[in-house]
Amino acid sequence: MYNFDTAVIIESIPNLIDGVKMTLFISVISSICAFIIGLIIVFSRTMGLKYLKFFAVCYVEIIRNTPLLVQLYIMYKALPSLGIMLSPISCGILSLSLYAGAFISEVLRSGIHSVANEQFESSTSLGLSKFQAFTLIIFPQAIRIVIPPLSSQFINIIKNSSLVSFIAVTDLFYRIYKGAVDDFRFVEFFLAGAFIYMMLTGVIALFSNILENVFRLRGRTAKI
Amino acid sequence: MIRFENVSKSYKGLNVLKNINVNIEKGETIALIGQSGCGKSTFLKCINGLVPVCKGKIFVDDIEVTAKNADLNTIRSEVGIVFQQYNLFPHLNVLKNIILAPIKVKKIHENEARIQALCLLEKVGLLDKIDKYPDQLSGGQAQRVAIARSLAMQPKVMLFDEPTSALDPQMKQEVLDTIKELATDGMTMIVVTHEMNFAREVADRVIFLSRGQIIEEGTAEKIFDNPQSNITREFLMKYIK
Repeated sequence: MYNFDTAVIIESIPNLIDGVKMTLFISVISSICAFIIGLIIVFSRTMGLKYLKFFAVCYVEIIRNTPLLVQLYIMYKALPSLGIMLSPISCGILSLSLYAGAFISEVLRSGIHSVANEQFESSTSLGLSKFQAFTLIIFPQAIRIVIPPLSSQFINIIKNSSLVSFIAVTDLFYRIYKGAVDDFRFVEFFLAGAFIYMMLTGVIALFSNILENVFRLRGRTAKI
Repeated sequence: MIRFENVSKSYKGLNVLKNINVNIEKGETIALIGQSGCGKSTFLKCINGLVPVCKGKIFVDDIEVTAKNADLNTIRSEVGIVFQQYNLFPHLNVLKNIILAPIKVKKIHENEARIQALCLLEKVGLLDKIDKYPDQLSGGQAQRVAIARSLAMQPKVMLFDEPTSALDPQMKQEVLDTIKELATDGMTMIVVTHEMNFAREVADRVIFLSRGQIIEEGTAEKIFDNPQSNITREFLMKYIK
């Protein structure tokens, strides 16, 4: 029978908390950037000029069809060869933002397409500009529809942030891995790690449920 | 007020409108009748530039809508359109549905827009629904809010695209009464409708459209009681029993 030792985990709690801080720092900043990137991309695709649309489609397809780990290493190892030096943390944030931004733009796009075209027609019929119709009418409805898949994307950012440990960022996974190897306590550390990640992502899931309910009360289920 | 000059429109080789020439005077109420798919909706949507025409010119108040450099947003703010499916904004309450465009497009102060909205809601008899969301309204109420929303822009022209087709008979009447009142107020209107009795009662002129062409136009009496064309007669047979 395996001798489960909780003491090693308790001992390294301060160390793990530092890791959580780094994971949260990277995830929060990446989430904000990814959301902004997603917005810009989806706006370019649905309302933008032709060449802007082309760029947006290329970006999304390249990013979502290549592994995040490869993208991380391009930032971390390949860019310096081209003379661009970024700190590991910057590399992590940049990669995660670009990666999640592509997925978020797709989620937002599906939401926008699910808002009936008549909504756009009736907005512009009232004299609203395309931009006003998008920001005041279409987007607020789309965002309500995509709250569940959107929150999954933010959850993915937290989980995917564990990959930054590969480029020497001392995040939660880095510390878990180091603790596990140093003490030969793989079971304890990895289980603890899974649990901590679950706590972090659970907050988002909970928040998303609350948001969904709030918006449902405000006529989300309305017929058009 | 509205002038069509040799207007044609085709979608992928299908001629939806063929060489339309119409002149609609200020204060006139026009009933546009015809079978489904005969181009009635396209006719309306061309007027505010929602559908670009292929040939010809359309003028609203002597401003060319079909011009390449036409300021469509301004033209649209002067041409109200009410759709079959109401198309209210489901995430905004009744008041906000109404005041949004006046504030954002006409840059009217919020308080002024609010007062105007109250007057309009009173006019359509829905003052008590001011805080409600569209999904809390019946079809007839939603359509009347949609009319109020269009009127809030103080349009010179109102277009109605089958405003009662999605409603049951009782709700139909509420909406038709509202439109009738507008006609009495002297609003220039084009109403696409299948309600022949309503057309007879309200319209100064009836236009019958078939396969993208104006087959006949004239006073309600002329069209309904003494149609000249066989196509018109056949159509009316189906609708008036």
